Amino acid sequence: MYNILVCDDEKDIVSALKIYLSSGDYQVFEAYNGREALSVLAREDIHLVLLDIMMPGMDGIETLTRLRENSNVPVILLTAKSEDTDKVLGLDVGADDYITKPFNPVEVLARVKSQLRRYLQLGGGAVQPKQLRIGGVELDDAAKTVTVDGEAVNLTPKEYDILRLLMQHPGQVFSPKEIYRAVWDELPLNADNAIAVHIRHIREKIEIDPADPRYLVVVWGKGYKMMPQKGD
Amino acid sequence: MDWKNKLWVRILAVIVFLLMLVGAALSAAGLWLCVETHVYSDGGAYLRQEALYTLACRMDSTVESYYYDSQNGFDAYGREHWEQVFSPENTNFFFRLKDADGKVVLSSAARPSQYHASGELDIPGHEMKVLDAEFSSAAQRQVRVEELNKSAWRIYNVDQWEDTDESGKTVYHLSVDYSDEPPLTIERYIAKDFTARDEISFFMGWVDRLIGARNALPWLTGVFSVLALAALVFLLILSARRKPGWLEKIPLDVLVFLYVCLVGITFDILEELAYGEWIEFILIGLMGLVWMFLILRFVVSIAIRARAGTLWKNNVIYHILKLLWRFCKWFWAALKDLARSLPLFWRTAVIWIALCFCEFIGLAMFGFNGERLLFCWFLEKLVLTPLLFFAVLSMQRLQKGARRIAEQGPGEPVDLTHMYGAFREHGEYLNHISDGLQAAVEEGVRSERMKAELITNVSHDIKTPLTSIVNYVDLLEKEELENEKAKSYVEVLSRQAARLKKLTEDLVEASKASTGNIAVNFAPTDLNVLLGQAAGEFADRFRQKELELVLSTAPEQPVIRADGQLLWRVFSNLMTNIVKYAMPGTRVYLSTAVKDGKAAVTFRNISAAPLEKSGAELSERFVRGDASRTGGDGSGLGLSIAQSLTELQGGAFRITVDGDLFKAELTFPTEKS
Repeated sequence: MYNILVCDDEKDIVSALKIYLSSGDYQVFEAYNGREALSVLAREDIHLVLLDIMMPGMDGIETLTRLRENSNVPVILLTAKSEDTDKVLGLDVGADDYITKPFNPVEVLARVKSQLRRYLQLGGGAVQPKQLRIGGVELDDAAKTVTVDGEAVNLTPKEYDILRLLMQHPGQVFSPKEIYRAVWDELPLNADNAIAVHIRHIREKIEIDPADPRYLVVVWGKGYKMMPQKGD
Repeated sequence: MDWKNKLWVRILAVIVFLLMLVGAALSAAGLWLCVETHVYSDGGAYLRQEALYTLACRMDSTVESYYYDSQNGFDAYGREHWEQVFSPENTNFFFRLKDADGKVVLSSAARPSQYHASGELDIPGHEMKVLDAEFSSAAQRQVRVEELNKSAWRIYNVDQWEDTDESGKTVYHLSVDYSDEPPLTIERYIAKDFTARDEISFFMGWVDRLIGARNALPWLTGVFSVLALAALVFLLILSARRKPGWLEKIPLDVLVFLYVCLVGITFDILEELAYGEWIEFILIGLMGLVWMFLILRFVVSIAIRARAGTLWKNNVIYHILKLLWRFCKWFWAALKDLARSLPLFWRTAVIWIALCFCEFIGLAMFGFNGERLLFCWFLEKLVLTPLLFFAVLSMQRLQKGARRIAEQGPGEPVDLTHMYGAFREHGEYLNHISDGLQAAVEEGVRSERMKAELITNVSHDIKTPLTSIVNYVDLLEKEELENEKAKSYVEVLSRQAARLKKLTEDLVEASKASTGNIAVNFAPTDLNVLLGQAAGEFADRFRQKELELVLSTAPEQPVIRADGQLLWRVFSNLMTNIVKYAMPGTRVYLSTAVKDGKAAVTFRNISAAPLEKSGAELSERFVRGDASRTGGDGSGLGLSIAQSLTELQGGAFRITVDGDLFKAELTFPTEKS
């Protein structure tokens, strides 16, 4: 039983989220502005916070800044702004993830689950020499297995090779040709399309929302990279 | 015309030209001679007289030799030889040599009854040609004296030798030995009816022929000249058809210089020749011939140059002048730049001082005749100068203020203290303009900010209730509803909520894109890579719709300056359209190409439903290709957004519809590496 704080100025959204999260076996605390959220946090043992950005009075960003002064509880931002600058700002201030409104309930549950698992079960686990880890994605080169938030993922050998290459160099952009050369070990013959299809498949397996990836990011017109995550 | 290029035609033309030229030259020379000797006024009497006299004088040297021989007792040729030479059968010339007393010393054997008498003519003295030598002053004087005295014939011997003096310098000695005999006088006669065939009769025959032909000479000259000219023109036409050769590569003035050098060399050779030897005449003839060809070739070269248009351009002088002209232009531009970069104050100061100086000089040169005038001039300048500089300083301040408004926009007003009259008025107008501009700019900024805020707020305000709707519809779907009707209603709600969500997102994006309210992060972007990535993203959806993807990328890297994220949205919208509207089972062509510094991406597919709109209409907002189709989740904004985003990144977006073929083309200028 984990405690989740939901903070949004729209009561209907809070209660909808409460219904969803309660069905997922979570204890939900409600708050309707930043001040309330901070007082709940001080009172209760909260394991995860869902925080709206656009709120009257103290907005989500300010609340998050205050919260981060004495807590490292995972925070998922709820935002109607889908602009990249807001996402970047939120992540910079200390958010662990974000969900854009109007959101899909399934996605909310998945992200909550992922963050909790990372925060409570995997945090601090020693990394084996042949293990690569970025956020919730773990690649064990000895066992040739990949897990996301502890759940095993089935990758084809080529997909596995591509993911390993990208995970060995977090943040580095690989062009399709470079990936082809490294994984297939031969000269690429118009392989742009083939690599892109593989990447798409990997994303569908490791990302919660493949259209809005958090790990395997497309750098359009250049290539692909694994985004380094907070706490790596 | 083939025959024109034949070699023999050319040779023939050259020969004809040379003949005509010689003819023209000869007849012109004859004409000149006739005019000079007044043949046309006296019927040739004077010419004949002159010719006879000259021919008679030519015999003097022979008479001289005869006289020496007779003085030496005929030991060289013998009396019979001389009598034979001067016999009436062999010569038409007769003479009598007299001494100072009038006594005949020597004469021809006989004298014809009819003769031309040359009168009491003196035999001219020898002209002494002396080498560049060193003479004793006395000897030199004596030689001079002897040369001047040409009226009488004196016998003298010249002896010459060379020696070396003490300093090793070569010294020439000349001694002149004068005979004491007094001068002799010669009387020359020529037989009137030319009893003998000799030089005189031969030349006089030609003189008579020339006089006889005097009326035809102008015509002959004209005709020969015209024919020579015609032959020359023909030759030039033939030759000018030639392409410029090596000779035409030489600059014309260099060629002229070479020819002048050649002329100099020719004259040097001519001077060296002694004249008299046959071989030398042949040499002179050859040189004349060579020169004829040289001149001809020169004229032909000029013709070729004129035809090729390089007559003036292919000159060293031309290039030098061109360089000089360029330098002058550059210098003038630099001077102008300097003047322009100088502040108005200093420019005026320089001009004013120069003007005053010129006036002063002018006064000093012409009207400087009284101290009063100078005083008046000085007083005028004393009043005008401060006034002028005050005006210029005001002007400069106004200019500075105007420039600030033009470059940085409205700000603090132009300082109008110590400004009067028209300048103050102008400054006030400037400040009015600045104020108006300030208001307009502020208004613009405010309206821009309001627009941006409106978009964000509307987006937020719509999305918040929409989130609730979507969530509660989802919850409702999960409830156990017994009523079948209620279930179908919930399904409609769910579908329409999803559509509203998509529509809201598209609307916000469309308004942002069309107002330019999106941050564009320009970076070099490879269109080949991007197209491959986009194709990969959509590969599975294409397969589901049984669409075959045909990808062809340009071999050269089509790298453009764009925002990859925004460009992906363009590609994504276009590919979503294709998935939605393409006829299943057809091929979809995606290609990149580079042409004329532009990179193009083309999307082509076959539409499932007939396209009833034109390409331009399709990219308008809320327009869909098929009017009948109302279902689905299309907002009708996809192409409009794609167009706005493309144009935002400096690209061109064009849609063409050809029957069922739908074609979208993006063009961007390629990134210069």
